[in-house]
Amino acid sequence: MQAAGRLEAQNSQGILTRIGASVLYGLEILGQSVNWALRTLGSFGEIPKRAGLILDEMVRIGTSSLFISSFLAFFVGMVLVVQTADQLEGYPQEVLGSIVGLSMTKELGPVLMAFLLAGRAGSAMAAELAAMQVYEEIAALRTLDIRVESYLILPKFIATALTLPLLILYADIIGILAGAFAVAIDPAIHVSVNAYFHNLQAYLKFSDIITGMVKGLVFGAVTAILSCTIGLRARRGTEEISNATTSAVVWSFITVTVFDYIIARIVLIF
Amino acid sequence: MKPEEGVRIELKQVTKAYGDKRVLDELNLVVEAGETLVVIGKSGQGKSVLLRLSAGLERPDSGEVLLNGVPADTYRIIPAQKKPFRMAMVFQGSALLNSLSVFENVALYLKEHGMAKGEDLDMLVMNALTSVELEHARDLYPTELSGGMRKRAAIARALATRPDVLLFDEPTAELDPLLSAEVAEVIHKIQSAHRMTIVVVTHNLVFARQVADRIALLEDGRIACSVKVSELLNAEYPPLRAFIEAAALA
Repeated sequence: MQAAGRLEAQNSQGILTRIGASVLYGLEILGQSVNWALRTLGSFGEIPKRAGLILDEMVRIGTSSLFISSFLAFFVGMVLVVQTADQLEGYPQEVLGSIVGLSMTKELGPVLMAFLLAGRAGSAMAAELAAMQVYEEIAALRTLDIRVESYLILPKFIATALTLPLLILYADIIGILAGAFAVAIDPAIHVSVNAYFHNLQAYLKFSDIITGMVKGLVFGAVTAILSCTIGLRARRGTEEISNATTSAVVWSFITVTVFDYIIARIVLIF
Repeated sequence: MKPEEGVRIELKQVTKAYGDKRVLDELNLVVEAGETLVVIGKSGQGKSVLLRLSAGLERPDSGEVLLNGVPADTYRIIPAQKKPFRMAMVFQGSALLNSLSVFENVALYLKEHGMAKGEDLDMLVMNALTSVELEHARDLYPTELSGGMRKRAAIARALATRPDVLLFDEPTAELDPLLSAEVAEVIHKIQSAHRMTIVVVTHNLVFARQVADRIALLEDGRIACSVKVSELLNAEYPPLRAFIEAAALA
């Protein structure tokens, strides 16, 4: 009995220790991210000097995400129409246009594209910086008096924050058009394409599109800083590169979701 | 001391630990201006840590690292244009930026700090590349270079900063004896061309003998002994003797 009690105490201590360690780890990442974010903001004066690197990053992020974002947005748009139509059985289906339009622009477009960006560009950033840290390239930059936040983080930060809103706009358009395509070809949907677009036009405001793009700006900036921070935390050993990649994606997903809620609340206040 | 007289490196009572492991333990060491000191020691003794502390890349837990009287960590944060002297480091794995060509890697410091552009930049970079006989590789990328070429490109990058102090971390690691001799030759050329304080850490005693003015043995976190290279073979300190015999120099 006593032995069982001790084992139970050990187990519960183990769980508490693990929870405590996770909380500390999270706070450490948060603190370091804020630190890198402030240092990166302090390097904004060097944006003109880094214009070439920013453009290169934008092209890299855009080309690596464009095809898959088209694919994703297309099928999400179609699924949205099919599922909503099913739920609306017995009700007028004209509202499909506004439901797809508002869902894509305000929520699905920004969040899906942010997840996609975290999975593609964010993980690549974390891996790149982790490898540079492990192979002492970061230390080499420091001996050359080159600031990491200006030379490495700033271009990724600006490029991601600018590219994600554009990707979101693109995904919104593809998703809405895919919804129209589903309306046109699916025999279970009893609404015309014209009515779909008419309803979309009646309810979708320009501010909804801008809200989604502003979300993209924030998500992009947050993903870049988190991915760079996690990459730079790598110390020794190649396994830290793969760990950084996975951590960057997981932390970006969590943070994007939290910021999504915060922005949604702020927008509703105004 | 003015930089034209060289840079003196002084480590006073330096302690550095990682977790429970005390890597350097109240270590004292002086590298005189213009001297080439080679620090030898077994793997894991903290040779690279000593170099990173000297470069101001890490801070000691206690003690001081002074470069002509300036604390190394203070020196590291002084902007490039205002530094009283220049220090460069050649890393064990070369640490070239893979996204840049050899030319761009070597030009990076000068370009980044606006110290040269156009034809001047071209000339300075080509001079650095010529001094390590790598001018033909200017447009290649690090992944296209052999180990020896990468090491020479890293030396060229360091030389392009026109340093007063040059630190080498295991310059012959992963190199065969012929490539090691190539690197030794490059260091000889640097020594004859510039009055520079050079610190090399290595466990390769053959190489150490080729380039050193003085050899210091790092053991148990401290400098256990230090001898002029001309006196190396007569050294009696048992751990150093063991090194000499293991390297088949005796």
